[in-house]
Amino acid sequence: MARIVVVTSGKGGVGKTTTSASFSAGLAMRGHKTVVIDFDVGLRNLDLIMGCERRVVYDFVNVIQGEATLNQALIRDKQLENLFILPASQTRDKDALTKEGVEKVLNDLADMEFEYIICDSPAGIETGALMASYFADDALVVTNPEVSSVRDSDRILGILAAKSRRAERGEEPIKEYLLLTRYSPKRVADGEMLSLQDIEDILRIKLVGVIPESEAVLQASNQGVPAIHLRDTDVAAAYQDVIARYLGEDRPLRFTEYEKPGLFKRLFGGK
Amino acid sequence: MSKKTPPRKSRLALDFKSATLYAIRVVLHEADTQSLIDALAQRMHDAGAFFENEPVVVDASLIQGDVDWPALIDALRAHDLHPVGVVAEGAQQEAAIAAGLPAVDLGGAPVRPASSPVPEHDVPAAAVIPEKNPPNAAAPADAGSAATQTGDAPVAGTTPAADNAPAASVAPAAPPADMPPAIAPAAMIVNRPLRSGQRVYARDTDLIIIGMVSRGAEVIADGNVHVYGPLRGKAMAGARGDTHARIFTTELDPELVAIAGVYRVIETRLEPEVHNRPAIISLNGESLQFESLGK
Repeated sequence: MARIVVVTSGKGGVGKTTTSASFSAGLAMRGHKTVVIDFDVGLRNLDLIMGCERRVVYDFVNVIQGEATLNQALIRDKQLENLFILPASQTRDKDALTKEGVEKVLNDLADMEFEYIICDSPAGIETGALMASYFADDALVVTNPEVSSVRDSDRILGILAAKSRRAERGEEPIKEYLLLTRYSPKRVADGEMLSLQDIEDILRIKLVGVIPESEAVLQASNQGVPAIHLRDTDVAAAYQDVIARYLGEDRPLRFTEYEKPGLFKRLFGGK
Repeated sequence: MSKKTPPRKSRLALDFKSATLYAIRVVLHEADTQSLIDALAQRMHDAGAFFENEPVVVDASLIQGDVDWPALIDALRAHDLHPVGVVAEGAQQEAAIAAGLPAVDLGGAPVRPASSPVPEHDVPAAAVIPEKNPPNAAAPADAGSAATQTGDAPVAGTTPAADNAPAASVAPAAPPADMPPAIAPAAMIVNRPLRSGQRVYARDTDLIIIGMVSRGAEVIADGNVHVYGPLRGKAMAGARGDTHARIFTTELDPELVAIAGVYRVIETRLEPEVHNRPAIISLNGESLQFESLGK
């Protein structure tokens, strides 16, 4: 039975698509057959981040409306044979997404023996976001250490608890994981940013990882490669930790402590 | 031959309706009639006029042995107590019935009807009155006064046992006029955190939240509001005008608090005695009072 994971946040621009790309790539690297679906109808980005924008023929809405089969629409990732992408439509709008349509696609993907289905949610709390979260088993709530992001994450947590299929059926609730992104330990130490502990106290859900603020993310999206592939970067290492913790392994938190650079580093460069 | 039905009159001479009776339950601990009569005399002497003219149910369920029921009934009547029934079993019950006491069933504790969630549109839009003269740096009231609570209205159906000291009920403080002495629905208990944008309303009763109330969440009750966790959102007690309602929390850090429509937005940090501490908020006249609940 496929595990459906929604990557959501409420707030826009915090790193959902970046995370969806790296999270699904990371699972595929570990040998799990994984598909990542872009739910942002009309504003598709996932294909750019995954580097497959020139190979999009059919999309999610085409499949829902029966204009194409899943096999025609799914794009296989060039680097990982276990990883598939279902892009969003760029020309339609969110009304094309129906609960029955989405449910059928998810069931068909499960029948194709996918182990993980990652749903990249759009920002906001309207149809696209609700549709992406409705069928989820797990939720990665992506949050920046900044007040409006934290409040929006709190809001989306309330919605996950109340408006999901699991909630409506009285089943075990969606498992919620907090993923902090764009974390800068220096700015936390300077008091400019909320700390990890502050955010945990406000949101009170299990922390699955902290992704540091890094130029590597921009490089990765420019190259059309999920950040987790940039081996020597802190971001890639942090995402690997996230996969490990999600799969049940114990990893100590990295990239959360600020070390004041030595005198020379401060004089001659370095942040 | 069918039974002849009595002729119908245009209006019935009497009617059956339901009633609830408060009664004293006299619990017998011994079967020896003389001891009972003496103990009765002692109790009535100590209690003064308190129990006079009360209807009484004799509870013989704890004793074995023969009670001289006619003598006991006479003794009760001599003290102006009116025996209306007996709780007993077997031979005990039969003897009491033979003496003229009907068997009664007192039943268990009254079951409070469960409170069910109220649809959004029923949440009362209380006439909000901003607090007059909200203090900028209020001195917190004495923590000791937080401990005493006014008694609640009596719940119909309970029978106070005669061997309880008549302390609480005798107090001259009558229940407040705006609280009907009916069975209130059981307090609504919410056993999960409330997130931004969520709102819970407990109609006609208290609201108890076990968990945090995030910024942007709202907890509303016609009665009291209790939050066992950080209260960071909006809390409104006495939503339909009960000025005696209070807000209790283990960690006070709200956006807004209101009691019976009198509200205060918490813009500046509260006093250190109550900020992020266990606290009670109550309405004192037309201003809100914040008291620390101690460590």
